[in-house]
Amino acid sequence: MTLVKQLSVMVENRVGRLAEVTGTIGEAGANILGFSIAEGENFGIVRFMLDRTDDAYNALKANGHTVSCSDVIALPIEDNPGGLHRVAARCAQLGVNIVYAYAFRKSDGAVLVLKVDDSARSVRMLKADGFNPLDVEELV
Amino acid sequence: MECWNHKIETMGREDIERMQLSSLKELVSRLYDSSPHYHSRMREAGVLPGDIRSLQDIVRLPSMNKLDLRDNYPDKLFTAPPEDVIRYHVSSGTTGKPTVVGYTRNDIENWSESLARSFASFGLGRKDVIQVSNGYGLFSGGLGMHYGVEKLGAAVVPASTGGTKKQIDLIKDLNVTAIACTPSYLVHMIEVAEGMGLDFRNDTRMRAAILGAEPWSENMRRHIEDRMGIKAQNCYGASELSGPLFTECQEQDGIHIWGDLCLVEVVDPETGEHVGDGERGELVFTMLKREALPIIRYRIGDLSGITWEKCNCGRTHPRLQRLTGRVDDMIIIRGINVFPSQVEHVLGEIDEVTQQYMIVVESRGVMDNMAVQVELDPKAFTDDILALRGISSKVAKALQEVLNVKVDVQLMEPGSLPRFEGKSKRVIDKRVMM
Ligand SMILES: [Zn+2]
Repeated sequence: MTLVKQLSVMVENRVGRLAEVTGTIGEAGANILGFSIAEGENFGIVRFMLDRTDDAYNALKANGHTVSCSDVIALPIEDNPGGLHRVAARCAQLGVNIVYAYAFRKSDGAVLVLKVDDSARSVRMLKADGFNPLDVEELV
Repeated sequence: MECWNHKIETMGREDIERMQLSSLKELVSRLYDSSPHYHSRMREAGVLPGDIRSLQDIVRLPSMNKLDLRDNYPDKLFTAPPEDVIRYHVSSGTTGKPTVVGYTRNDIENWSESLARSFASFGLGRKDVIQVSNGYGLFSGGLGMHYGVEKLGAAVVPASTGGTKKQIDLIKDLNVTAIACTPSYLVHMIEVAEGMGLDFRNDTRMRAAILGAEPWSENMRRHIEDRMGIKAQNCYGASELSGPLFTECQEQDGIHIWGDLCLVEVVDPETGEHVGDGERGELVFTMLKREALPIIRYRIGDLSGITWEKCNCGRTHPRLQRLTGRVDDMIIIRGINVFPSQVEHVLGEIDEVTQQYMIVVESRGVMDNMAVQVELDPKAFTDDILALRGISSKVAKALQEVLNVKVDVQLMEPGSLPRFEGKSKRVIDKRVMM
């Protein structure tokens, strides 16, 4: 099964708090490949796709940040008009329920990060349908 | 059951109340004759000593509070001849003048008697070695406990505060079996002992702790009892009442208030009228035998309830329920009295959140809106927003059940709310008051 680890950090809605998080990640020597922010009333959840997830996790914990690690699917998508639509439409047909998603570009194309309800089943369905979920080495 | 004073501790309610009435009559006559202050207060209230014919008549007497003590600094309220006063304790108010409490020999004797009965009620006796880690000095907590332990006939280790490693060594070396201190200090001591590689359960003879002088939760009790393998007993008192006075018995089901020494009323903080049996309200204390500084219908500001139901231990004296807060902390939301301590208690029962919180009250249209901001327990953090929302709803539901007020719950990042040293200010009231 091809799932990748993503870090989610609880970040107080306060000027400078996000910079404290990204500073810690940088000092840990981890490179941010992609990220997204979900905003709430008094805090946001910032989700990071990283090359050195464990190092960043430990550094964030050590600096008193509230962080959790979860499994997501990273799908390569075509970096041209309709690229995202083709994946989204296919997921709908396959019955893969997307909880949230975000995308980022890397040197050789775009990546769609998906959080789905049932990761194992979704990966199986996507693979059977010809998709190639990426592992962390392929992301870097 | 081992009672310190079996006859008194197990007498029926009627007998206790008969003693209370006779002491009250005596006290009121004495005050009317010897205290100019109380004499004029009684005249103002239109009540004479002869008007006190039953315990219910106590409501006719004027009440007193901290301001009376402060305004009569240092000893204008004292009724004993100065040569009969053998000790002073002084409590420093956070604002204004300190409060001075004087004691005659009988006052010290009754104070110690009260504590000796309390200590015996959870099994302490002559064979025990009790370390008093309350502050000795102007604060009544150290010397008060000390005299109580001596009265009991146990050995006292007057450790006072500070020097935690040394205190732990003493507990081990002197075979200390019980300790009197604040709950937060004992939690600190547990941590220091762990750092020293000492396990209270196996390496010491500790079996009890007498804890008070600050609010603490059932969670904290469980924590202390588990980590130390002891019984942690809640203790109640106040400097105006003498100092630490009463504790729970082995049943840990309320604090026995010795009725022959102390009469406690429970009143509605707004109207001053008595509440029903077992209902909660503001505690009003009358110290029936105090000589140097009379305390009569003293509104102490603590909120709780009492029950006369006979305790499983066999003692008959009324029991004080857990304190639910201070009158000064009360906030009124949509006509309902809410206490921060109630919020704190609810939060303490829910694993996913901590007890770091703030209450924010705002006017929303014509209605008051109450929000509780609470820090999430880091272990409960998840990427799943629905799960986080589930935690807020769970907290909101639990709060609403206890407070009878709808509460908006806002989860906060751990560490993001203000920390307080000493008295905390957890309520932000943004309402515009008319
Ligand atoms: Zn009892």
